Amino acid sequence: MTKYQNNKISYSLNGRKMEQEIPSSMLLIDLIRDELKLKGTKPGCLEGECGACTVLVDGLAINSCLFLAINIHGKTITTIEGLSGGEKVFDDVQQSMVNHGAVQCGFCTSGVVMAIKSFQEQCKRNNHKPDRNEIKKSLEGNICRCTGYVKIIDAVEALF
Amino acid sequence: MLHVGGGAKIYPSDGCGTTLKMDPYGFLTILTGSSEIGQGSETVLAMMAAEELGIGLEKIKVINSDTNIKPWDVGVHASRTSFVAGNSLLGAVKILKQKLASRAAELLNTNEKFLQFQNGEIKSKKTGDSFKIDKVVRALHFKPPNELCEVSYFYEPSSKFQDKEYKGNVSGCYAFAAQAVEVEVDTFTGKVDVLNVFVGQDVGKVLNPMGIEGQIDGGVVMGIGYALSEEMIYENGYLLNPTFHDYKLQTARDIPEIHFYPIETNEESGPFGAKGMAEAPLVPTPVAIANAVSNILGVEINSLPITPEKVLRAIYNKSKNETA
Amino acid sequence: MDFNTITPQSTADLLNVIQANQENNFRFGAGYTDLIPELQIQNEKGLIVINLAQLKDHDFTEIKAEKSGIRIGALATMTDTLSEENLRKIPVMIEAIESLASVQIRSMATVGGNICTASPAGDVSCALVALNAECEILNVEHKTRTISIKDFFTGVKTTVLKKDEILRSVFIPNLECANRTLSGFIKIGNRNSMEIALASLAYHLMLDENGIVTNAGVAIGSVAKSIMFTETACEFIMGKNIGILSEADKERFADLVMEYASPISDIRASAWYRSQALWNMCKSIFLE
Ligand SMILES: Cc1cc2nc3c(=O)[nH]c(=O)nc-3n(C[C@H](O)[C@H](O)[C@H](O)COP(=O)(O)OP(=O)(O)OC[C@H]3O[C@@H](n4cnc5c(N)ncnc54)[C@H](O)[C@@H]3O)c2cc1C
Ligand code: FES
Ligand code: FES
Repeated sequence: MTKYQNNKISYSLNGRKMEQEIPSSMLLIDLIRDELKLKGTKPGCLEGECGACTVLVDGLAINSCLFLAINIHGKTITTIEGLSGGEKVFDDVQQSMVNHGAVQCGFCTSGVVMAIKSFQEQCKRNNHKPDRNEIKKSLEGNICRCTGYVKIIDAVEALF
Repeated sequence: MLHVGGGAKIYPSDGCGTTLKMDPYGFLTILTGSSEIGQGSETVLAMMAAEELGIGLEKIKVINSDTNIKPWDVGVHASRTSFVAGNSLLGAVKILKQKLASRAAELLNTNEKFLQFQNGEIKSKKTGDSFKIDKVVRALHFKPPNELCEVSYFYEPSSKFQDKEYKGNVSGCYAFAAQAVEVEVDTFTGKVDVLNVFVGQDVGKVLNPMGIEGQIDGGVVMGIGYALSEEMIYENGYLLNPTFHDYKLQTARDIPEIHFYPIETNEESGPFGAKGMAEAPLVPTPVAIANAVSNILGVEINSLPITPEKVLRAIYNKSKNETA
Repeated sequence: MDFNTITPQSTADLLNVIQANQENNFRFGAGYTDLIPELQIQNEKGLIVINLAQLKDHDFTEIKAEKSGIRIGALATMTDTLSEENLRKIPVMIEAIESLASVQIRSMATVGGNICTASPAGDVSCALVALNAECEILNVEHKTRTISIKDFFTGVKTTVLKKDEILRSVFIPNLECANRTLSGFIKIGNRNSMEIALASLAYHLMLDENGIVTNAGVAIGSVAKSIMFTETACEFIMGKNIGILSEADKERFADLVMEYASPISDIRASAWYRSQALWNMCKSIFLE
């Protein structure tokens, strides 16, 4: 029998310091949903195509279904649950999605919001006001069956 | 015209049931047979009830998913929810209002026909006196006749099974739509890009403008996928493209500008004049795109999806025929 | 999907780990965007993954301007590469990277992973072939060898890398000397994003002040067992003035490119389509 080892990792999750022992081949999405019980991150395709599983690692949007959990060691993870909190019911990205009616069934929504968050931060850092084409490009990794993307794009545009 | 799907009633019942409960604090629970899958029926049903009962949306809760408790419905399809569940809801609201009104008339010492439901109150138009709606509920429940403020109603839309000539009537109301599209064809690769879609659609009375736009956008883009990229490919009964890797939905970078011109009409049989509208933006889209492509190429492509390969093949065959 | 990982932090560690596992079944993992989908489908028992994601060695991770070109560490991600000023001047590279999957994937996927996965559809690899890039390979004895990326691929998913070797960096030579370039990446697919190329064309032509081609690199992807550098097409276009190319010259160029193509038919497109579209695209690059 092959023995598979555990690995000790420490990281920050939604502002909290975490330490944990996890199997080598565990995926980040499984750590988030099954171990940490944060169900806001959605498994859509588990092959990098749909973006429903998007979370931020050190501020960058990635597909948690293709990310090895041990590689968050020393890094900062933000999931949809970490966006709001404190006095804010919603993060401004979430608020803009609500204002524009950019949510229908909601399955893609947490991934879309995380992708937008990463894009918003990047634009802010570069002091850049993105045009509609750049916004569309930033959403290419998120599939939405319901909205036709129009209102999602409107919601992003309104952030700048 | 005979619809290939029959055009006649399919299920023995196409109806929807509603149960309403108003509690002693004036909160309304709508138990509806209809389901919410993102199309916004929860919102629109709550809006209708709020409008009729003169109470705030925040006082209304819609329960629609638990089949142990919810009444009959056949599902989310045929653009039927706002229409069928809406009519069912309005039927139930009417009974609820009668119940409240008869008690309120006693309390206000007036005739039911002078009563108005507004701002959380039941008010006499004649005297200007009013009672808060929750107080009327308490008066019903805690004093004789000791009744709960709960009612149920079932609505069955008019529809007909097919007759000997295969004719019938599938729906309680019909939507009408016209679509114009502008496309660009890359003659090197055969790839079609949709630039603009113009949607002119009879949507009945618009109840939730943002909700309607969302349905139009989503329908158009799904229609573009249907037209250009979405296809389930089978071989010997096996699906060859079962994942998003090969089954290609449109991405944010494939979508056109969508120009929506709602044509508001009053559907007499619909709730507040509304009618089903959500499939109508999808169905004409591939047809309009196919016509636009054939308009450019001078050749018709008669199967969907209109992949770059089919377009390039058409261009190639045409130039071969012309030189021959 | 089950495997053990070893996570070296330094190059010395890394080489020791590679050495120690010569008898074992191991794979490298960099951005994992190819490896995880592959192992999800097929995962041999007892596999060891040498996890490169935490390696701290600039030679592996950084993008550096050198005297005669630009060096990209194998572990640099697509996102890292896009933000590199010096690379912004090479349209074929930028366009290839931007056409690769999505923002999310580009933040994980590495340049080295794209090369070592040796897919005929590798977009960035295709651009690097057109640019005549050189692969720098490190072995367990800490020795390096350099090989042209044109000779790096040996077939579908196979490369010249030996079991005791790893790709450390890729070097793009001499790009500044041109007066002007005609450079770009064309990816043929059914939609505008999230496509694996049905066929692709990477071209980087350097021109003098009169528009005469002084150096040419043209590569094609997804139409053969591996990415092909189209040598004879490049030779043909050298010395020609692209401003006044005749229709016959353009067709000759396209025909020469296509001599390197032997596409297959699958559910995504037929061989006929791949050839025809690619031939058309070859002619189209001179339209600019
Ligand atoms: C949804 C999706 C879409 C994609 N779209 C595209 C696309 O449009 N275009 C495209 O070209 N690719 C695409 N890919 C493939 C993939 O993202 C790229 O090939 C990527 O560059 C691989 O890099 P990686 O770091 O993730 O590789 P990994 O998965 O980590 O590794 C890939 C292979 O290379 C080996 N390897 C990695 N680094 C080294 C090294 N330094 N030395 C030796 N061997 C090494 C690994 O052992 C493995 O066999 C897509 C993948 C997904 C999941
Ligand atoms: S679940 Fe990760 S991209 Fe679809
Ligand atoms: S809202 Fe349903 S998938 Fe996006």
